[in-house]
Amino acid sequence: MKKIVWIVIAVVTGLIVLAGYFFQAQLGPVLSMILDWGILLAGAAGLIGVAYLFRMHLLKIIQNKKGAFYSGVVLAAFLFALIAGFILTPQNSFYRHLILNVQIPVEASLLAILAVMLLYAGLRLIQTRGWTPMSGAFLVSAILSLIIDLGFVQTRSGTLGAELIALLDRLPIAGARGILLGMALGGMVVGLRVLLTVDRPYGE
Amino acid sequence: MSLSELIWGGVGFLLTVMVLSYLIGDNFFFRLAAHLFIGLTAGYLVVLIVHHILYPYLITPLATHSWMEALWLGIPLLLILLLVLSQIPKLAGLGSIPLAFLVGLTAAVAIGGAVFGTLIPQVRSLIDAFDPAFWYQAAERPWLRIVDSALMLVGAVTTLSFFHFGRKWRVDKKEQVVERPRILEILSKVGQIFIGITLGAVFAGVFSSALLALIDRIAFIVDFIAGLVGGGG
Amino acid sequence: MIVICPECGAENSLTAEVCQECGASLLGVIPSPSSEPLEPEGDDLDLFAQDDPDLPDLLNALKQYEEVSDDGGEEQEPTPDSPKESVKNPLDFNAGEDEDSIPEWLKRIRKRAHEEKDAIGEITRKINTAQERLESEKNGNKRKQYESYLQRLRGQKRGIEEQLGEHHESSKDDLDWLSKIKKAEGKHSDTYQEDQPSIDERQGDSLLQWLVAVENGDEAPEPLSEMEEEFVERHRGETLPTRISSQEPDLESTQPMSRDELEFKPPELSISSEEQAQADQLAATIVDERASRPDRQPKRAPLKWVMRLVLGLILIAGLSFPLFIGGAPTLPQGLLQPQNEALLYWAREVPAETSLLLVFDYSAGYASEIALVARPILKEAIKQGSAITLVSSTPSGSLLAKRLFGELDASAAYKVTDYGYFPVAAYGAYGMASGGFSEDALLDVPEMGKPLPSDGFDGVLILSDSFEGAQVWIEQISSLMPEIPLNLVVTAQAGPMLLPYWESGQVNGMVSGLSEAAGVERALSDGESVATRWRSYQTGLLILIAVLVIGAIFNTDTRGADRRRGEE
Repeated sequence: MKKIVWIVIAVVTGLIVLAGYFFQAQLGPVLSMILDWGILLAGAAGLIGVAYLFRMHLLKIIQNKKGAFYSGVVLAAFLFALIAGFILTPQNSFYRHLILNVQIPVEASLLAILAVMLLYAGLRLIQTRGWTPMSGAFLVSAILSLIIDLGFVQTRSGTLGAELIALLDRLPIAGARGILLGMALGGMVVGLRVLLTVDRPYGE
Repeated sequence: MSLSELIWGGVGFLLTVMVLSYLIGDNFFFRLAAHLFIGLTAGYLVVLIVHHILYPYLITPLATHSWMEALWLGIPLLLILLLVLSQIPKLAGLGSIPLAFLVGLTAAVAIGGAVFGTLIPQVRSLIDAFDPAFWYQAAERPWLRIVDSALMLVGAVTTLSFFHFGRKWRVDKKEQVVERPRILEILSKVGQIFIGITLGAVFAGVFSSALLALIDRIAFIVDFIAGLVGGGG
Repeated sequence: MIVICPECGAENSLTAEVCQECGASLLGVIPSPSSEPLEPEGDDLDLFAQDDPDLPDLLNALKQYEEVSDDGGEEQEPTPDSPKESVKNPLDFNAGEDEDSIPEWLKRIRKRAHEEKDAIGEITRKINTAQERLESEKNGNKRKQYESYLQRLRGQKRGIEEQLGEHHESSKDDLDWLSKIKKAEGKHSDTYQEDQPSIDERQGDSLLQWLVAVENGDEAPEPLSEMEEEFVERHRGETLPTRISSQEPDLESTQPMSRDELEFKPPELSISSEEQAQADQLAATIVDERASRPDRQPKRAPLKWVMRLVLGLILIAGLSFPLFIGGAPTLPQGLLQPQNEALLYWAREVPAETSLLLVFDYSAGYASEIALVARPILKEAIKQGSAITLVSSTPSGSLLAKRLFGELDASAAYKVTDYGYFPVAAYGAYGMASGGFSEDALLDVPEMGKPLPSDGFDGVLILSDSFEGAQVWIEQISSLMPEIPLNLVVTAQAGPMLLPYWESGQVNGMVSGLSEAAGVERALSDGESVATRWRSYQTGLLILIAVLVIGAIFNTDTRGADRRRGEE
C-alpha cells in the first residue's frame, strides 16, 4: 500500500509537469505551485545537508579526532557567517564584501592551481595514454584550438584559407553534437524509467 | 588606498598566497584557507536559503495570504516535515514521499528538456544542414558547405555509436554478449577521433579559463603590493 | 646414563668421544638415562610410552603415532602415517618435535604462518577440518578397530612372552618398544638368544631393519616398493598430514600377527581435490620462493611536486613579465566569430524600456573572466528604462550580479529586480519559462512565489561558467519560449559544447572566453580591459603549446614497458 502511494505521487507529479510542455496556459498556475513546492523542498534538503556537515565537524571536535583543529575553523567560520548574515542580511555591503572577498580569492586561486596541473597533465599526456586515435586527435585539436585562440592566424574574410580555418574551428561541433545527443538520450531513458516505475530511487 | 580596500585587499592577498602555496605541496596554510572557505560558504548558504527561499515562498505567504489560501502551503510544510523526520534512523522511511515528489518532478523536467530542448532541435539541425538552399546560400564554394554538412553528420553518428546503450542477449547460450555488430565497432573507432577533437577543444578552453584566473591573481597580488608600497610611500 | 649418537642413534658409554658404530663425534651431546625396563604384563600400551632418543626420526614418528592420547577422548587410526602431531596444527612450532629434524623449508613455512596473518590459514583450516572430520568419523568404528589392533598387539606380545618363557627378562637394558620388536623378530626365527646381535647387525628383511641399516649406511638399501618409498619420503621428519584412508582392519582375533601384518603398509589418506589443489599451490609457492630472482632495483618515480612547482614557476614568471611591462597592445583582427557578431547585433538592437532576464550561473572563481567578457555586452544591451530581472542558480550569483552591475556605467537608469536563488536550476528555468499565470488556467490556485513580469521578457542573457548549467536553461527556455532571443556569455571551457545550440538556432548569439571577448572589444572599440591581459594570455597559451609538443615528442609510451614488467 505504501509503495503505491509513493509511485502515484511520483507519476502524477511527473505527468502534470510533462503535460505543461503542451498545455502551458491551462496548467500554468498548477505548474507554478508544483515548482514552488519543489524549490521549497530543495531548499530544505540544502539546510539538512548543511546541518549534517555541522554535526560531522562538531563530532570530530568532541571526539578529538584527527583534524579537529580544522573542524573548529570550519565551525567558527560557519557560525560567524550565519550570525552576521542574520543580523546584517545579504543586502548589507559589509556582508557582501566579506563573502566575496573570501570566495573570489580562494576559488580563483584554486583555478590558478588548475592551470599548473593542466600544464603538467599536458606534458604527460602521451606518456599516460599512449598514441591512440583519441589521444592523437585530442592533442592535435588542443594545439589547433590554442593556435586559433592566439590570434596569430589571420586571413582575409571570404578566402579559401579563412573558410578552411573556419571549418577546422567548427570540427569540435560534430563531436559535441554527438555527445549532447547521447546525453539527452540517456537522460530521457532514465526519466522514462522513473515515470514508468521501472526504477524507484525514492525507496521500495 | 582606503582602509576598507586595505583590509579587504589584505584578506584577499593572504588567502591567495595561502591557496597558491599548494604548488609546494599540501600544507597547513592551504588547509586552513580551504576550511575557512568551506565554513563561510556553508554559513552563507543557510542565510541565502532562509532569505531567498523559505522567506518568500513559505513565511511571507503564510503571513500575508488568507487561511484558505495558506492551506495550500500545508502540503509543502508536511513534505518538509517528513524530510526532516526521515533523518532519524528509525523514521527513515518517511523520506520516501518527499523524495518521490522530487524525483517525479525532476524526471519530467529532464525528459522535457532532453526531448524538446536537445534531441529534436539538434536532429533537425543535422537534417537542415543538407538543405540545398543552405549550400548555395554563399556565392562561392558550396562544396565546402557540403563537406561541412557531411562532416557534422558523420561526426554526430559515429560519436553516438561510440556510446554503448545496451547489451544483446544470445538466446541459444543464455548469456549476455557484449559484442556489437562489426559496422558499429568501425563507426565507434571513427567516433573516437571526433570525441578526441571535441575534448581537445574543451581542454584548451579549460586551460584558457584557468590561465585567466592565474593572470588575474598575479595582477591582484602585483596591484596590492604596488598599492601598499605606493600608499606607504 | 648413556650417550646417544646423534647420527645413528647407537648407545655409547659416557666416556666415549666418538660413536662406536658410525664414528661420529659425541662431543657436546647431552647424556640421557638408560632405557627403562620392560613394563610388567598387564600394563596397557607401555610399549609406546616413551620417546626413544636413540631412534632415528622416522622411527620416533612411527612410535609417536602409535601412542594413544592420554585423555582417552581422541582416538586415531592406528597407523604410522598419522602420528600424534597430526592431530595438531602441522604448522605449530610448539608441537614438541625435535627442532633439528625439521627441514629448513618447513621451518620457513611455519615462521611465515606465525608472522603473517592467516598466511595459509585457509589451507590449515582445511587440514584441521579434514582431520577433525576424520577423527569424528573414526570415533565409532575406529575405536573398535583400534581396540582390536591393540588387542592384537597385546596378544602378540603375550604370545611372544609365553613362547619366550624363562627367557623373558624384565631387566634388560634395551627394554623399549624396539627391543620388543627385535624380540618378536627373534621369536619368529626361533633363534632368539640373549646375546642376539643388535638389530643393526641383523640381516633382517623387515622394513624396520632395513631402515635402521640404511640409517647406519651399512648397506645399500634394498629397493623398496613404490608404496614403501612413498611412505618413507612422507615421514622423513615431517608431520604434515598425508593421505589416510579408512582402513577396515577386521583383526579381532588375538592371534599373533604374521610378518606381513607387522610390516607397515602406508595407509591411504584421502582428501578432497580442493584441498589437494591448495596443498599443491602451497608447494608451488614454496618452490617459487626458493627460486632465484634477478636483482632489480625499484625505479624511483621522480618527485611529481617538484615538476609541478617548476612548471608553475615557469608559468607564473612567463605571465608576470608582460604584466610588469604594462601597456595595452593592439588586439588582433579575425577573432570575432559569427556567433559573436550575432550577439553584438542583438545587444545593439535591443530597444529602450525593454524587459531582460539575466541568469547568473557562474561561481566566484570565474568572476574576472565573466566580467571581462560580459561588461561590453551589458553596456550595449542595458538601455534607458530597461527592466532587468535577475535570477541566480549559484549561491554567490546575486552577490556577483551586484558586483558586476556596480562596475557598469551608471549613466543609464534601469530597474533591477532580484528574483532570488534557485537551488535546482532546472526548476527555476522551467518556472521562468512556463510563464506563470494566465486567464485560461484550468485550476485557480493562489500565487505563492514572487510574481513574474506579466508581459514576459524581450530577451534572455545567460552568464555561465559551465556548459551543464547553461544547457539546463537553454533546454527549458528554447522549448517553452522559443520566440524570445536567447544569448550566452560563457567562459572558454563552456564554449565548445554550447556551439551546437547556436548552430541549431536555439541560441541567438554567444561570446565565450577571452579571445572572443577581445574580438568584441576591438569591434566595439570600448576600453582596454581585455587588452591589458592579452599579452599574458598569449604567453600562457604559447607555454601550453610548447609543453604539449615537448610531451608528445620526448615522452615515450611507458604503458608497454609497465605491462611487460608486470608479466615478468
